[in-house]
Amino acid sequence: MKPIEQQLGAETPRYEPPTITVMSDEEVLRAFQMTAAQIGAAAQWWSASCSAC
Amino acid sequence: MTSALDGRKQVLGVTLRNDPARDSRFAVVQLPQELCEFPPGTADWCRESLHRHFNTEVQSLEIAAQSLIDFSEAPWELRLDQARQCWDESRHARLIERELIACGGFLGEFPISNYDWSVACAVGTLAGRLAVQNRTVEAGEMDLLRELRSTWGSLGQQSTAQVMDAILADEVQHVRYANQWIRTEGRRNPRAIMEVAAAIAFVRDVTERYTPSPDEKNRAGVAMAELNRDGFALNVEDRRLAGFSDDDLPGLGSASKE
Repeated sequence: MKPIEQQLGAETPRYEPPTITVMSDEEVLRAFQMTAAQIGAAAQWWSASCSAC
Repeated sequence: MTSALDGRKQVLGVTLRNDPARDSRFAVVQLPQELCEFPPGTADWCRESLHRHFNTEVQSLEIAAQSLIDFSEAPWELRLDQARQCWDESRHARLIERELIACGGFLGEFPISNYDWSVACAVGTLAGRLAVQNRTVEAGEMDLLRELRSTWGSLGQQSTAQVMDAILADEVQHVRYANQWIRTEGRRNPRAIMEVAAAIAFVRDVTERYTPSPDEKNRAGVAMAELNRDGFALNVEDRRLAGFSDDDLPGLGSASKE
């Protein structure tokens, strides 16, 4: 039997076997943090840096 | 663009909590480009930023108060912290209103948005709500407030700079109690950690939808690209006091040179 890539054609992305990453509580919390710049881009925050000051 | 649901609204394809009540002085808008932000340091910026800051403090009060209602079975110590936060935020709003009037402004002078409330109160879990409002938004505000303290000082407005410093001191505790509760609860009930992850994933999605394109202009005619939001330097000292570890900090931005 041909490999799956050959069966589906050259334009199909290569098959990637699934992987599992085990994370501690702290690692999950760290992966789900946002910077002030990320929040400020959409939140109705205001610019604080004043180049003229 | 918006449609009223049962206590909810739809904006840009996401379901958020309906706006809290505001009196007839205020024009409430939904999007950042509908606000009147001016380049920092100008007289218009002084009044508009204090006006916007006032509404941010009022929303923080409302979010903490609504959480007392939405999560009435929460541990008593946590509820006490949330009640204390209500008191802090109400004092902050009063202080900011005083500075706004001293600057020649008045409540209702500019449009306001209740984004913080609408997003935070759309999250239906206690861990998620605390992660969004306290651990993320208020923690980010610690970075913002430190810069505002410096900016107001540079403008010669020492009274306003001192108000920013006083508010910052209170925000540290608001972030700290939430960080402590999330970690403690996460050890007892790992589901809480997944609720944090789900809530932040939700905020990331909302943020992406709400972020205006750089060439869009706001209601004051200022291009969004001119309003620099990348300049928030990480307030390392206060982040540490608020319960962020040295391992957390690198993912939160670059440290301030101050």
